Amino acid sequence: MNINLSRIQFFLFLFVAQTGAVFISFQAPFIKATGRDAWIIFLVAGLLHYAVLLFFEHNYEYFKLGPVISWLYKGYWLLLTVSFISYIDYTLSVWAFPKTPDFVVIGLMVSISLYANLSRAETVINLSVILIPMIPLFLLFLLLAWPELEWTYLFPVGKATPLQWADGMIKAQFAFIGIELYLIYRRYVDKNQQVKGWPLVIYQLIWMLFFLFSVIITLLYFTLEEMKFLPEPLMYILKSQHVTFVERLDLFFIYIWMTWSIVTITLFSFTALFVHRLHYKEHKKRSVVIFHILLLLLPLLSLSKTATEKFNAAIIYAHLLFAIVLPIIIIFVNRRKKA
Amino acid sequence: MSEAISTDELVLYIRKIFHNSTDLFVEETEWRNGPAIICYYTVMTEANQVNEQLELIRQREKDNLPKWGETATSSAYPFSVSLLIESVCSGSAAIIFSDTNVLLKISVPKFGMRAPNEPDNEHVIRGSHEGFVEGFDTNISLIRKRLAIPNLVVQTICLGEDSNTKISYVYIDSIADEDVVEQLKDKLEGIKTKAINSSGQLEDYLEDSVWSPFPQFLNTERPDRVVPNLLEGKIAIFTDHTPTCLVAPVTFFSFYQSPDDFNGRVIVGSFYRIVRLMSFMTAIFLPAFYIAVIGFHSEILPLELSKKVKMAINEIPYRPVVEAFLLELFIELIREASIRLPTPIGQTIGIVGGLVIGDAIVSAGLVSNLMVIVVAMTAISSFVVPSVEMNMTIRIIRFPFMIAASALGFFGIVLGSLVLFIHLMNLSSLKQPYFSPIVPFDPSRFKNLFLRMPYIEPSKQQKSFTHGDDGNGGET
Repeated sequence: MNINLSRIQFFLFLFVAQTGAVFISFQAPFIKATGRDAWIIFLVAGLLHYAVLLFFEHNYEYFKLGPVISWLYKGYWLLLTVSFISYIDYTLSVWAFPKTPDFVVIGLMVSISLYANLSRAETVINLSVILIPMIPLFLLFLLLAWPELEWTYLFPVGKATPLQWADGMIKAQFAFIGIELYLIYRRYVDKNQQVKGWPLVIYQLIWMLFFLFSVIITLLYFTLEEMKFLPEPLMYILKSQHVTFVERLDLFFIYIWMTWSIVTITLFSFTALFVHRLHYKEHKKRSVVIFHILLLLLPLLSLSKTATEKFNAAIIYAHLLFAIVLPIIIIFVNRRKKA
Repeated sequence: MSEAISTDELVLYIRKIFHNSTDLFVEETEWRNGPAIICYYTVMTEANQVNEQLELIRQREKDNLPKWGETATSSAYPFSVSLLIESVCSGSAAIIFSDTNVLLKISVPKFGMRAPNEPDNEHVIRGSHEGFVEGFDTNISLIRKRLAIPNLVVQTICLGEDSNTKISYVYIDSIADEDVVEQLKDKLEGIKTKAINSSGQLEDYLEDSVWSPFPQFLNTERPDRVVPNLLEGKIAIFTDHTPTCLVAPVTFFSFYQSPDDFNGRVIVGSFYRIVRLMSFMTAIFLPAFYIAVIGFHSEILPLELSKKVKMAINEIPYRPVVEAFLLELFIELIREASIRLPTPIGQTIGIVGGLVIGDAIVSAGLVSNLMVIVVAMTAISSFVVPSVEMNMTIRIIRFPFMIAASALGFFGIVLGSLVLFIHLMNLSSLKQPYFSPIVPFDPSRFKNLFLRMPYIEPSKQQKSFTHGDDGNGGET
């Protein structure tokens, strides 16, 4: 398949893939692990994110997937997508559909991804555009909590122990999930458009400000004691907002988040199938359908609260392997081969 | 033609070809070098002008001019029966010289034609009030007078074995994409059918996705809407005897632009364009949103409103989706009845339907007051679109959204929106992206969707009153 991305398409794709499924689940474990220094630790983690991006930008040409490694990556993205779906379904059953059978909700979400992936590649690549008006809306909804923010909660600073720093850096990796897509799609970006330099800095700033904003809002709204009981603090912040036009602002938000998540699932499914087609060009539709049947069936095995939590915790280590360790190995091996 | 056939036999033969139709004129006439036969339909050809032309041609022959049969309205061809049929059926007079085997075609057709008045379905407040008519020549002249350039190309093709309908496509050679023009030509040449009766039928043959609810050709009867599209590199397609012109390739957003945007001021034009785009959202989502709120998410309503809504719907025996379908169908019936009836009666039906029955249906307890407001708002929103085709599309696609909302609440609306969005991204018009500038994503063109930008970008005002200073206020 031959695709040609503009710089903006590429960064939008990457931003949605990186934020889609984790932006409401990321804050709680991160702040619980790091305490009041969460925002400082995230700033440092942001620098690490930028370093990874710079490394990828300098070496993306050496990242070539052979058939065996590509199967490993396809497996990883399948598991990642399954974990997203499990989490979304679990959250939806708590917040919106307690009585609807899981396979109905999952089936409907997966059917959207199936439809998009059976369409032309340009459709999936540009699907994230639907979220553009939703992202500022989400930020605006959160800003409504401004009068209730307690700014003294930012202090004291510098109290985190080395263990907290280490744990925080690991938990911050939730926000890094999907960064490996940079290596997959970078070579398809229009050669006439510059990516390194300012465009990359701007992307990094947008990514970091988005997550840092959500961390700071959460930190300033809740005490650390309260945080222990909240799995999705952003949802509670929105639920607490009183506006004149609606009573439950969080209900709107949950559907914005759901749209965001379905788009993310579609993007990861597309990536897995895209990499598959690099080596196996036949039976395009069949592989799309089989992948989506797996997406429908596998989440049904891990729908309990404990299983979902364990699955999500394990994903972070798979991410470290596939987004950091393996790319470094592949790049160095290919560089040496070339040398 | 066989020399053995006499003129009388030829006259009989021609009569037989045209089945002795009473409006067929076939007569022998004397010519300097022998007899000739004149043949034309009396209802389609101007007889007086035929006589005048014949006088002129006779004079040219007498003067021994080399091509005496060639005038501004006449041409000479080798005789063939198919040419004879085509000429007579298209309103020309055919003069057959059996001795020399020549057919002289005199084009002086006579058709009933209305004036190019403003089309009833595309009114504008300011600007031109001309509209296309049922005649090809008039329609092209309406375009040519607005585009006095030699690059404006008109190509014609005859389609339909029985109807022999003239299809013409018009484009500006220096602007239109060559591949798109070639593709349209191939598509037109590939049409195999007995008859082309309307532009709608032609649209079916040309569309990339005929089963999509969204129109992929802009239908318009306004020359002032076609001309800017031609200048943007698009192609206009005319079907003979139809005032509707098809414009392609178009995008989804083309349907939300009106000549009024450009006839009015920048801010006014931009404001109403935004209003129109917002109306797309309300026309599709409002009834679905209401059904979802009443059926699934009543907790989002503020307490004061919640009480009123509960009181309003408490007495209604049906589910919100049934209520909505009942009223929506009622509105569709009023609309359909108003179109078919003469204008004064149509208006009466609107008033009776809208006010009297609307009030009665609420009093009878079949639907709630709120549902009447929602459906009325939806209907008004759908009529805002300056394209009849898109208007109808919007009216139809809100029904699946209502069903999705009644089954799954907001979740159904989200899923429906994603399906709709993906469908729009998949569509193409003459293989060009229909949902541009979203696919391919090009934020730099977004402003043109929502805003009517000024024709002339204002240049910087001179900063200094001193003569000879540049625009930097005299600073060097």
